[in-house]
Amino acid sequence: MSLFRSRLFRLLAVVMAVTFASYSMVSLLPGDVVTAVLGERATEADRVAARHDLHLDDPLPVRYGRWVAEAVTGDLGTSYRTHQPVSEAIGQRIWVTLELVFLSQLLALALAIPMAIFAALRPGSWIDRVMSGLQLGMLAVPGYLVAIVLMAVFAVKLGWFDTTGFVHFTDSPFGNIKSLLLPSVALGFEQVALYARVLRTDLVNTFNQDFIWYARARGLRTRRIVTHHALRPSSIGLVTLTGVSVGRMIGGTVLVESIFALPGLGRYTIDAINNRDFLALQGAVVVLTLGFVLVNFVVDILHGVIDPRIRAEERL
Amino acid sequence: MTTALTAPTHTEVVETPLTHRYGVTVWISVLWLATLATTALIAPLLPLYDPSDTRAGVPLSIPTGHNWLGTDQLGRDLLSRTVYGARVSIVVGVAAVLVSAIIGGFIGLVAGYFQRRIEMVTLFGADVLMAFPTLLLAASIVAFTNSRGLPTVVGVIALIYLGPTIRIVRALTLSVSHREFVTASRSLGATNGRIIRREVMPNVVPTLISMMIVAIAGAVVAEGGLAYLNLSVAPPTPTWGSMIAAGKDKIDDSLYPVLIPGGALFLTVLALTLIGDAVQKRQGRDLGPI
Amino acid sequence: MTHSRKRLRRITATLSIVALAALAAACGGNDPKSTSTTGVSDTQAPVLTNAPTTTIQGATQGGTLTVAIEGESSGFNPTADPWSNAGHNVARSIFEPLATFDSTGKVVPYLAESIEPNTDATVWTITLRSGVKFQNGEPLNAEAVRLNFAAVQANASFKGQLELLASMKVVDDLTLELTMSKAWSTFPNTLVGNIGSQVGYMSAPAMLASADGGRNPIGTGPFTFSEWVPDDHLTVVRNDNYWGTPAWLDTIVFKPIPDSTTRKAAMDAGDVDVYYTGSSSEIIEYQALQKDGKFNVAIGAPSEPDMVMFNTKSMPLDDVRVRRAIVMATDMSRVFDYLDATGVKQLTHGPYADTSFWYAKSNYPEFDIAGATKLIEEYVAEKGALPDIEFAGNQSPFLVGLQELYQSMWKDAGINVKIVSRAQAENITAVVGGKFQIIMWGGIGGGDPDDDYSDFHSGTGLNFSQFNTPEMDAALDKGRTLADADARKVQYDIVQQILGDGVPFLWAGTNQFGVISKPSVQALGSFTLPDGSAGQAITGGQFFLKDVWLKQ
Repeated sequence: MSLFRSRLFRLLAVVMAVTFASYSMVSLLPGDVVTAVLGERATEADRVAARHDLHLDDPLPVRYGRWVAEAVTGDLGTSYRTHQPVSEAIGQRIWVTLELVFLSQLLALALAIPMAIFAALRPGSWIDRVMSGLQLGMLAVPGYLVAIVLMAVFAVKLGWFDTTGFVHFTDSPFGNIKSLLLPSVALGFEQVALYARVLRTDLVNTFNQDFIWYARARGLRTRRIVTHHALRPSSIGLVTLTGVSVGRMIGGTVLVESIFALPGLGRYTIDAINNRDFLALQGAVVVLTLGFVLVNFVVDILHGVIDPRIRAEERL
Repeated sequence: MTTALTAPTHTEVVETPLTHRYGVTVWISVLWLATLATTALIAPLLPLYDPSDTRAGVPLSIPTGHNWLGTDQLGRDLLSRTVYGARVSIVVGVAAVLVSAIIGGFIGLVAGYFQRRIEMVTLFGADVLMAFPTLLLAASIVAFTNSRGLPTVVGVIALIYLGPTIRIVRALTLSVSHREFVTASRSLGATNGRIIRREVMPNVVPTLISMMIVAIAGAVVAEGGLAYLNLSVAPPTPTWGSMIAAGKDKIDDSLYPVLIPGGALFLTVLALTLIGDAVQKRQGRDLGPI
Repeated sequence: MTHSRKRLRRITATLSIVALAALAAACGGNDPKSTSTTGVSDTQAPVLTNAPTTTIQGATQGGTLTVAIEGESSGFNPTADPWSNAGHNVARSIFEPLATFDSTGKVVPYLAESIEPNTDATVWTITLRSGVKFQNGEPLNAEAVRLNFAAVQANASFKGQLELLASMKVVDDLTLELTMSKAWSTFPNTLVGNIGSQVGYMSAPAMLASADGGRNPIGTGPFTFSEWVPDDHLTVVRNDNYWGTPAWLDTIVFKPIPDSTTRKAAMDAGDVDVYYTGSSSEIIEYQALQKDGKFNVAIGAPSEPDMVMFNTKSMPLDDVRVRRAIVMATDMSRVFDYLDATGVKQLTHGPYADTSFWYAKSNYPEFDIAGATKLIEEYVAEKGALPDIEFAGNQSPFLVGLQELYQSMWKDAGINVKIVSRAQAENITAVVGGKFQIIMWGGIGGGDPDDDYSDFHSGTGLNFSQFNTPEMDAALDKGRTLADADARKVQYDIVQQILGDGVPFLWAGTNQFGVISKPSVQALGSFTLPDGSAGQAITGGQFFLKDVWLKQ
């Protein structure tokens, strides 16, 4: 249990450090928020007043402290640009991003696992080679390029999908999936190759182990060996990677949400960056970071569940 | 977009079906990269249009005798822009990864070798860096500093790779510094500097290099992402990412402005991945399990 | 390639420019205008052309109209949230202005019964229509108007809209008397609800008093605010207690789609019913489709021209030869080609379109690359090498492309510029601080010349090109004291001559908006005034949807 607690402590420390870093960065880098708030025609007195209202005249640690104190109560401040509470804005947008990431992961895993199994069953066969080549090819196409090509072909040329925004699940479950399908494919594209490669390697290693030979000798069907014996011990690498990938996928959502005009957190963040909307940016960063760190925390815990040996000999 | 993240777990991979065939593909990959690098380097000497010359051809022309790969929406020659765009991609990719390898390598080495408090602090730092959504970190730095020069872009992309590099190098160092030959030389009175130079470095550097090759691919892609958000090198310097972004607006008039730089990006990333893959696999056997 | 297949994203440019202008202008508003003691604007843009002349006969109530707008607004409080076209189009369903344009482009009272000046236009009396109620039941009375004006005056970035308003007096329930600090003969122009001048829209006093008013707007309009999910949609429903003839539509959904490609694709795919664009190529494309009955196209009056602004105090742009050379090196036909605007946009040689009543011919240079090169050679011989000049714009790839086109044309004359792409907010900061050299700008010209007073006058602090002469100041000051249009024009002719000689701006063509709709959408382009006469439904990129109905 102490391992769990030390992990949790570390998690908190990372989140604090990240938010402090982003808070300082936003505050120290040039770019005057006040002008962005008031516009070109405000007087110097207006600016000073606004500076005071936004607490910009306090020293940095004080401001950060105040922000943290409010943040733990769920108050992330108010965006100066939209006058919308940041936590409310994030609450509205986060589901889009979560669903997008989740759907991409699902798609990627649904493709990657069969690919890996077929390849691993016959290492070196033509099927393995084709898969391997295909995966390397997929790795080499950046998500934003996939997004543009998908949009050009399926939305603009063929008209099968809407190019516009987002349909809420509550409005239309089918429309919801449809509105997220192309973006999810774009976001999950690279992941397919990464996941398949990792799982294939681990499966090949597992297949060479004694207990699999033993299972084979008992005359068990391949299908059963894969699902009941090989898959679980081979999935540690995949689980880790799935967790680690959340981070890069969050980066990817910025581009994908911009291209497909989805009202998600990624687009919110990039808008915040471009408009010097520092509280919005800060709020988005804390939520994204927290999400990433939590996922990895869960992955760590999952390791122990998948492979009990890890609980005993823990590194880091 | 860090392909390097996953690398260390797989250096131990044994036989892969494509290994013996990599001979050809790796050779072709090297050839492509060499051609690209050379062309980009001597671009001003080649009989190419000026990449920002808007009179190179009719806007959005298909490939012709004058414009071998067609033109973009302003009538600029796509071949020339792609070649000049390669300069940015190559410089950013190589420089960013080199910077992160040197800085992160040093930090990781120190952390892995001396361990204790230094290790804790650096690992924590690496965690913090890696917990930041990478592209957002890079985008906000470029946006807030408002400097869109090559050094800034190199710097922010290097920052993306710093965390993973520190972790990987530290893990490599850790595994080496506990081996018999290191313990042996230490007991023979060798200084830390000497051990690091003679024993640790030779074991760490090759692996680091193979990872850098894959990381360069990731950095090239990351630059494209920044350029897509208009946060890379300022125009009119062409970059593949900004060409793709600009071409997107005209995609139902002409596919070439997206396909040409996109294709170049694809081939380059593919080549780097293939080479990195091959090198890593060979080292996997040479080094033994890490 | 036919025009209909061409889909250049002209709109990106317009919208960015307009949004920039909106920010620029909205942050302080237009300036008091002067002249015409009739209280009627004698200029404002020609009548809309080409609008479908569908009448309201046969109209049926019901249906939902989905309108694509180009961006989200910070909120919907007319006295606090600066709007671009997107914000105005939403607001115009919920709020109504005190005055509006009639079909001939004259300003006429709308929520007001009359807006009358005293003889020297220093005191204005607004008499309100009786029986007008806000959607929350509060009456629109003189006190409500006073509260609206007071809210604008209390807002640091909006107070410029009523700069000359010295005091207000509620005479009786429906009469408000406004005393100006000096003559303000174009005051009613301020009340139409325009970009940079939102003071005309009337909000309910309860809404103004609420800290959250901008998120729960309450006006007198034909539609009531229902729901707002920022960046996703805003819904309004018919106001069945409307003081006038109720609207036909049940519901209007406004969907902000910032990406121009996506927005147009949404129209083409039928996801939205109404879409508006400043892209000439798109207008041409849809006009061709209109003939097949696939879309309706309504075109609004020309609005502010596109422009590039020079900082005339910045080396080497402080030398008029360099500014002239830049304009002479610019082949506007290539710009129009890039924008796909050939045949739709008109060349401009000053702040007012050549066809405008206000236009005066000046020495504004024509395209002449040899002449440009010669001017630069002269400059170099006299002052040494020409340094690189910074050319700022925003981050849209399409606009950056336009900048790159300018850059390459200017290079032909030996002028090298460095493109700087920044967020809009940054550009405004730079312009305010005078820390720019050349910038893509907008929001000047196109309307009443007095609207541009602060952009051209030396004493306003808002003349960002920093170009001014005593003669121009005198003409501008004189212009606002005159009532007669022809007499005013004499003064503004002088202003245009001076601008043509001094070249503080590169004028980059007129702008017009097209409002595209599905064929089922009827009466877009119709806007009935309370007295039953026709109003101007589409002004620039802003329109009224009160009369619109859907053919089942």
